[in-house]
Amino acid sequence: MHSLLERQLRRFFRGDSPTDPRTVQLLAAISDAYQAFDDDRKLLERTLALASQETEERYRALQQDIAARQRAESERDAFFLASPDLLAIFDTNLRIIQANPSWAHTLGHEPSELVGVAFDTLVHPDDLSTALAGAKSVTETGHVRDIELRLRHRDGSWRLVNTAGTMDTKRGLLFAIARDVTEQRQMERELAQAQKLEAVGQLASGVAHEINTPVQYVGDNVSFSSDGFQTLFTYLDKVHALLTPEQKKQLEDAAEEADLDYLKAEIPPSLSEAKDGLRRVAELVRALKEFAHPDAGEKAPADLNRALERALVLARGELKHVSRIETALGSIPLLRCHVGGLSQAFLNLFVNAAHAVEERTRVSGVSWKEHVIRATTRVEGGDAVIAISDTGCGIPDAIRDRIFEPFFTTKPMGKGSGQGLPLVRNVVMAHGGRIEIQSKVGEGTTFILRLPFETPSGIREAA
Amino acid sequence: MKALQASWTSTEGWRNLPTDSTVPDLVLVFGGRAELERPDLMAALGTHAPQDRIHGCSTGGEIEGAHVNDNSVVANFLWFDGSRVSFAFCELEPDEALGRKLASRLDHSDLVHVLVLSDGLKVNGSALVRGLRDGLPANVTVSGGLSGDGPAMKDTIVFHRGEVRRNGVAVIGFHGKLKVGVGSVGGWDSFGPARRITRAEGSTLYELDGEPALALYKRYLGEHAAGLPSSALLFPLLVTPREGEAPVVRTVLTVDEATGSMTFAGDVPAGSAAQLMRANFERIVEAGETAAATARIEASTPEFALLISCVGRKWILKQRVEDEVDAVRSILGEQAVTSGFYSYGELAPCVSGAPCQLHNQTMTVTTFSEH
Ligand SMILES: Nc1ncnc2c1ncn2[C@@H]1O[C@H](COP(=O)(O)OP(=O)(O)O)[C@@H](O)[C@H]1O
Ligand SMILES: [Mg+2]
Repeated sequence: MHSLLERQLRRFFRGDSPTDPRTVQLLAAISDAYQAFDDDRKLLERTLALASQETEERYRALQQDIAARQRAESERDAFFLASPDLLAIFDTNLRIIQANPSWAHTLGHEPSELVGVAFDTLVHPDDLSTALAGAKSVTETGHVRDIELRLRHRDGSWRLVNTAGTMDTKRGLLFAIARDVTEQRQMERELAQAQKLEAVGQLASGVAHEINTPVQYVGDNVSFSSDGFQTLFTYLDKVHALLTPEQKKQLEDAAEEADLDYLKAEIPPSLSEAKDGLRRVAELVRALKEFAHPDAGEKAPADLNRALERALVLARGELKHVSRIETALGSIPLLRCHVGGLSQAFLNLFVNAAHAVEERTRVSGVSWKEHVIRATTRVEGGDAVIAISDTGCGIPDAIRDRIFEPFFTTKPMGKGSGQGLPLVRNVVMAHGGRIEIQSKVGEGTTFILRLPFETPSGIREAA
Repeated sequence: MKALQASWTSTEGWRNLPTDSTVPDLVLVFGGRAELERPDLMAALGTHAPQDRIHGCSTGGEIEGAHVNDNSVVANFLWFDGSRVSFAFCELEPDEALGRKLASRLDHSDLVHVLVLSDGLKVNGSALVRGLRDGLPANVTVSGGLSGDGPAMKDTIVFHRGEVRRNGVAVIGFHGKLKVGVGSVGGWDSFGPARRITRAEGSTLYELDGEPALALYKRYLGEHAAGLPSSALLFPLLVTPREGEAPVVRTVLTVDEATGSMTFAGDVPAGSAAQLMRANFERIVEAGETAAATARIEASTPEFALLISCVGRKWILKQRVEDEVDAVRSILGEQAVTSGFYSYGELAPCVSGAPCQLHNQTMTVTTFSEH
């Protein structure tokens, strides 16, 4: 019997417990009920204790989980904030949801201003199709990489970036990463260009060397022949003076037969013409040699006028029958420079001028004799100033910003490669100089290079 | 429709057997397994009704009017005014084929309702119900229960055409203008952490959140662990197979110490969300009222009501078990003859109009009315 009921019975019946069978049965039922209540309470208490213990354990596990997640998150945040690469999250319409601070450093756009911005407004118009193809591929396959396109800097310039992305299709989010490779690609191109030039240079210097020797002895021989002929003719005159009239008469026929007067008159000028020609060959060979070894080593004092003339020699092939050439070379002190690089730059400007003139002739039929390509040099405010002007087609405003871009060209395949002006710019920058352009469509263009005699500090010594 | 209730107890023998000589259309008998197998007791019934109209099953407790008895027999004699009944029986099969076969063996003309009395321990109740739903016309309602074996949980029987049958399912089809309503409510509270079924096969549960299910139950049961498997009824499992789906309550039928697993009365699919449940006396009793009110929607003043309540409720309510029967009766009204049994599982729609499902731990009320 339940102890509480037993106590109650003792208290109320004072020892003599009821014996009536119905009362006994009732008391047993009451005892059972007491017991059942106790059991139920115990079970309930136990249940609640266990459940709250389990809940507590889970709560603790959850807290640890959250803490670990927060740690991981803040670690990832650190990457996000510190990355020199551009990181951004896009929605399915390619609108920016979040961008990292690198966008400010690399492109001048504050991350907060970028929120909601459509990606295509940042992409170079010519790269839009590439960008769209990349977006399509990432939506279809979940991943994309190695897409290169130009993004607009806040200042209007363009940066070339290499992008990769991964798509969370479930949440409709595109995670993209872009690395600024403008300088890297530029250097790669310059390297390729340098390698190409070096190969050309080696070839040229080899050829120059080979030509030099025969040119020298042919020159020597021509000089010798010219002197020899002079001596021979003097001797012949003396011999002639000693002859009897009879003998003279006899020899006249033979002299007529040999056209002696003509030889006497023509051999000396023809030999001096040959000498002239040889001098020009020698000049060309020297120019080639200098062109071949543009920037080997240190800057050295050089005569810019001479470099300009050498470039003209090399460009003659392109310039002949295209335009008249005029030079007005002022006197300029020697400039510490990489004269080979500058020669290449001048050469490119001459070739561009020739092409521009050709183009204008083609379009409007102006005769070559009315065109002029003029090179002038002078000193102005501490700078050596070299101006090369043409009466060519001019540069339209629309492409004015782009002509210095590597590989930008408006010329047909084979004629232009878009590497000329980038080279000019690099060379001028390496000398701490500036380039000015004056151009009018249908009238002509002038490129003005200003090269300071005093190189400002901070300019790379090697080009 | 007329209903008359007779009963047998060891102290008083048969009481209230019909004096009327008209042959009843159906006799629904519920009793202790041992009592149902006593030929003498059944012979007495045979004198009042043809053998082939006697149907029923063994129980975990019999409901006779307002009372709940053990080791007794309650026999409900039913006479219909024009409605009729049909019967079928099938041996157990593990899948939906069983329910479909049963459905096909019933006459479908004018079919209104199917009452299912099943084996209580070996049947896969979920599959049985799915098969029945497949095989029966959509407008036919289904209710019923899994037969019981007191607290022993060893052996259950069903009564089909007056014969004791094992390992099978009996169904009774109701045809005609008869109105049948069904309501089924549990009233248990889920508690403790939300868990996940991490390992299970069919109706056998191995692991919850990676922990052997049996170990978890033993921890919660404490000293009651000795009473397994029946004591596991104290903590039914609320199972939500897929997020957004209606959860079902599942109770343990058997446990396997060797594998630490527990077999439930219905499917417990791996990946389901699960939570333990516990009793709340007031809510369990109230559930009876709600179930009765739901059943009244279809049959508002029933002549007869069948109460199938889970044996777990009986073990929780103990001496107060009749409270829940009272609760049902208070809603149904004086005119209703109430009977039924404590079961190892209930079959009923979740809400009225929904398809039938296997439940555990509910009070399921089926009301019959012919006017
Ligand atoms: N003197 C000029 N007159 C007109 N256009 C010019 C002149 N110089 C350069 N350009 C324009 O700039 C472009 C880029 O020049 P450049 O870098 O030398 O490449 P390329 O000559 O191979 O095209 C040319 O394609 C041309 O459109
Ligand atoms: Mg060019």
